Amino acid sequence: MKTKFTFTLLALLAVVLVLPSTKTFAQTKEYGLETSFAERDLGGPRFGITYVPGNTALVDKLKEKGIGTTISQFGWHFEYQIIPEGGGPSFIIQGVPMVGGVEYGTLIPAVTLAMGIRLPDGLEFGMGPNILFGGPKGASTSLVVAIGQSFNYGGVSIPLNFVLATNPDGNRFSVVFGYAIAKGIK
Amino acid sequence: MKKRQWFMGILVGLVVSSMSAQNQYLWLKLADDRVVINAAFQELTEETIVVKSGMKKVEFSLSEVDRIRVIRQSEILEGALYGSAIGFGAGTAIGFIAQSNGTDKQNPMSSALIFTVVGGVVGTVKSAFEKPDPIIDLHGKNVAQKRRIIESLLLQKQE
Repeated sequence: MKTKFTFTLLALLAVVLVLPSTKTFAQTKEYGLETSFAERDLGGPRFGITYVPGNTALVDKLKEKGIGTTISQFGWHFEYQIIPEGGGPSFIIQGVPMVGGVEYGTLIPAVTLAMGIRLPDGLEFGMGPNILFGGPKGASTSLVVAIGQSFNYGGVSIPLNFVLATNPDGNRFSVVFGYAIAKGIK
Repeated sequence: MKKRQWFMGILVGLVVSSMSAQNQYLWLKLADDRVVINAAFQELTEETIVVKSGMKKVEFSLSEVDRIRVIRQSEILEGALYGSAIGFGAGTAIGFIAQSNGTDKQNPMSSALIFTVVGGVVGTVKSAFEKPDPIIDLHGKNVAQKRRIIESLLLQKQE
C-alpha cells in the first residue's frame, strides 16, 4: 500500500516537474500533413485561501493539530497550454505544488495536477488529482474540480480560480489567485 | 451539499458573464511566423489592422498578415453549456442510482459536479470542431486584396 502510494506520488511529481520543459509532443504528423500547435508557458506564483467546511474527518484532524478551517496557501503554478492552429479553445495542463497553514506554524503540502480547457476570453475549467500531505490518513488523494477566469493585463495573465477538492474525508474549497507573464508563442 | 451548490453557482455565473463578454476574437498568423491569439478587432485602415491583445492596442501592417481567422466565442460557449447541462443531468442520475443501490456512499452532487465539468469540456471541443470558422489564407495577396477579404469576413461575422 505504502509502495503504491510512493509510486503514485513520484509519478505525479515527475509530471509536474517535467511539464515546463516538455516540448516534443506539440507537433504531430498525420497523413503527411503537418498539424501545428502553438505552445505557451504561463507559469507563475499562486496564493489563496482554503476553507474546510463541516464536521468531517479532515476537520477533526486539523483541529487535533491546532489548525483552523481557514488556511492560507502559497505555491507555484506550472502550466502548459496547447493552442490549436487557428486559435479557439486551448488545452491546458497545470501542475500546482502548494504549501498551506504557515500562519498556524506548520506546513501542509499539497500537489495538484489539473487538465482542462481555456476559452478565448479566459474562462477556464478542468479537473484532476490532488495529493494532500497531513490529512487524516497521513496523506490522502482528492479529486479537484476547478473553474476560473484569466484576465490579461498588458501581457500579464492574472488568473482567479475557484477550486473544490472532494474526497470521503471532507471537502475543501479554495480561491486561488496569481499572475504569470505570457512568454512568446512557439 | 449547500457548498457544492455554491460552487455550481460560481460555475454558472462565470459562464453567463463570459457569454455577455466580447464575442469575436481574431487569430492572426504573421509573415515571420508570429501568432496573435484572442485579439479583439479595433480598426482596419488602408495599410494596417489594429487589434487589442490583452490591454494593449497593436497595429500590424496588412502586408505582414499571412492568415486570419475570426472566432465566435458564443458558439463555443453554447457547446460548453449544452455539454455541462447534459453532464449535470447524467451525473445527478448516476449519483442517485449509485446511492440508492448502495454502491456509492458519496453525495450524488459529487458525481453531478464531475460530469458537469467533463460534459463542459466535451461540449466545448465538439462545438469548436463542428462549427470551425475557416482559416483564411492571405499569403501572396496584395494589401488591397487582404483589406477587402478581411472587411468582408468581419462583416459576414457580424451578421
